[in-house]
Amino acid sequence: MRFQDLALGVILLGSTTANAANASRPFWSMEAKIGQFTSELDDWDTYYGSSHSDQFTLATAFKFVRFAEFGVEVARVRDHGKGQLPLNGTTSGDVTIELYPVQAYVTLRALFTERQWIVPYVGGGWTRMYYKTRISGEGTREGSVDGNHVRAGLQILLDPLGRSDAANLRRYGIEHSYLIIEGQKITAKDDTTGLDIGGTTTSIGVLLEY
Amino acid sequence: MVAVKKWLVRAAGTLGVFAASLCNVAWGETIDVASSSDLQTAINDAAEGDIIRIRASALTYSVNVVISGKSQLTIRGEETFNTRLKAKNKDVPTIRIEKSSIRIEIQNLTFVDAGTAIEVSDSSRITISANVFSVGTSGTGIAEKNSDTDVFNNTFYGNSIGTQRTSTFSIVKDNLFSENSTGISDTTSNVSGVSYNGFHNNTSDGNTGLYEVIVNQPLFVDVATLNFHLQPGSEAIATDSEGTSELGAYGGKYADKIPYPVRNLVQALQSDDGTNFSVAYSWDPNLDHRLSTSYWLSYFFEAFPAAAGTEGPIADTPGVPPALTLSGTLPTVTDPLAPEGVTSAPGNGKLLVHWNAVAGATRYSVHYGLNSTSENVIPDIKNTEVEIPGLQNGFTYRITVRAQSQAILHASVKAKTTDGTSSLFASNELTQTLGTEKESADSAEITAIPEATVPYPALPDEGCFIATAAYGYYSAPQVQQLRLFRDRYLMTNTPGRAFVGWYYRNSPPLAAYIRENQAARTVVRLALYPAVLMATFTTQYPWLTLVVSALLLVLAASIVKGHRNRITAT
Repeated sequence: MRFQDLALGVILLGSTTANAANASRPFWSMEAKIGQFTSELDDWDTYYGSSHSDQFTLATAFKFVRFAEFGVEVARVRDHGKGQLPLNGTTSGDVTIELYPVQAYVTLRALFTERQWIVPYVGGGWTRMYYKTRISGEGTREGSVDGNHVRAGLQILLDPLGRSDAANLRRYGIEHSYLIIEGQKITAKDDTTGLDIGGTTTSIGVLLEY
Repeated sequence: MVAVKKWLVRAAGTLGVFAASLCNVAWGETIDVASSSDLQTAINDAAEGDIIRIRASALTYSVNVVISGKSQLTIRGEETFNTRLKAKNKDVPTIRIEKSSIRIEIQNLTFVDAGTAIEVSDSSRITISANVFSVGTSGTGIAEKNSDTDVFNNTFYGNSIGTQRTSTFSIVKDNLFSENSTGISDTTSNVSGVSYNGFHNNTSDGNTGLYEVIVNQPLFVDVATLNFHLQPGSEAIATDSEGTSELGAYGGKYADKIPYPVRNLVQALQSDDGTNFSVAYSWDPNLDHRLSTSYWLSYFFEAFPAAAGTEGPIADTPGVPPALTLSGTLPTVTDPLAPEGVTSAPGNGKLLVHWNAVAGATRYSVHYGLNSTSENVIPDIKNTEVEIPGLQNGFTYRITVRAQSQAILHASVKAKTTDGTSSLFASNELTQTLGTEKESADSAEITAIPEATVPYPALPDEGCFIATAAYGYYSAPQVQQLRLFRDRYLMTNTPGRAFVGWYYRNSPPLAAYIRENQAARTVVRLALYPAVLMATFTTQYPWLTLVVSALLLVLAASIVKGHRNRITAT
């Protein structure tokens, strides 16, 4: 599955239904985050040079009440490295790995007023981890694994930092903008190999409520 | 008015050169260029009076360079025959001279494969001489636009247009036009600027100007290799404007006097008793009528640097191919030591074996097998590395390397003129194996296992590409039914495995298209529906499937039999 398709789907899901929620408070939010993915696998750094890989995430969520939301999220983790020669016990080849965690989640937000500066939140949900590995000159392996995840983070209200900008954004229907700092723990175990290809992510991004 | 303007431009150029010389600026530096990418840089950086010398090369330079607003610059090939330029982009001239460039000279180059080799526009006092233009039957050698350009002593062969002339100030003289569609395309009504050109077998000679020379027998040395040196007896010899030199690229004051490389060197082994040897060599004589040539043969024994030398001179004898017999004592060849440092790097169905070089070894052989190293051999390896292909992954192979040493004689010939000018490139090099080959013992045996690279983590390839693409994800029940069918009924027999192998090799591109196209996904889902139904039925009710299949076979057989009976009855 292509990351661009999923990302576009997430954006469209949010934007096309935004107008339907015709109420004074914001019902929808959209997030874009960048961060690092740290695999659960012990030898990730042996093959990919570092225990961390870059991640980019897009998400959209519907806040059916102000302190709870349902969301969908798609991320992309990509790295280059070496493959393994199990019989020879060495590394070899040129391998590209791509992980696409697609997630549906519910979060609970400790939100008590619309002008609250810091909003902690926790949540979790279902994960489908799509994977694709390309070995230069030898082909591609791809598949997916079901799993779950938990998440927690802080949403820091940006509106007070630039009141005129916030007012301008409101003219476009964006009620609040937040800086997000988030951590996730994803578990995605492949039944046939027993390998957990999930991991821990730390990310920072922007959330717009509309 | 135009004439006055042109005269003023010329005068300004001349005064500029004179003034520069008085100011004692750096003048006439020669800049060597040996790669296509460096030529434009050299032109841009060149100062007035500089000469850019393009080094002769066995390769053809691929360029589109521009000389814009430059003054007093010479671009010269090291040797006309061996300095070849082609257009990197044929829609653009190989060399464009533009924007009031003054006193630019282009010399001693061979232009091939171009739309236009040289285009000159809005410039003055341009001189193009001693070049060969053979750019192709749809190309133009020189396109001059509004510029006074002197085109002297060039050979134009096999072009659509040899040279275009639009300015009455341009002079076209002492050139040789052969096999072009049009020799000289001239839009001026002036003929005095065109003179003493030779024409041979052009579809149209164009403006032949004054004192044209009809050349029935140009006698080029070898048109196929663009060797346009003239042989004795050519009708283009001593017919130029001076009456002494020849027409074309190898006449006039800028023609190089470098003998072209010796052609068609051949050898014949005369004797070899293991101690002494005798090898006879012969080659084609240099046919350039201008040069009195002799030849030098250089030789060396591979791996025995001390046993090298040069034999000659061998003078030309008319009608007799030049030849030389090389005789002597073979170098002493001893058993080489066994190679050391043998290592291997595994690959998918292959092993890359490497070892250290052995002193005196002229070649190596690699011996390998599953049970014994004598099962297979790769002989005659010239370097210290070889790839063994066609191996079975996961099996342990045994490998040894041996070194061989033998007297291998290498020889080549160069031509040299009486004034000492040698051809820039030697002839083709020949090798002759002499004496008895000595072989080392086996190297220490190593073992290695070829295997395919496995990605980390080693997750399964869920494979069923087309169905996964059509249903959107691998866990789809329909995909799982097809997978189950594959594992139970296809992977358990040879034809089934062959089909699966074929499918996995060929389906990924189609799957990629289906993933990207909603309409295709819908169509493929519909098309897969019977297959999914059959797979579900077969995997869920195997005995029932067997019974139904048997009934269908019986039914089919009875239909065929009934059909035959009806045919017999009629």
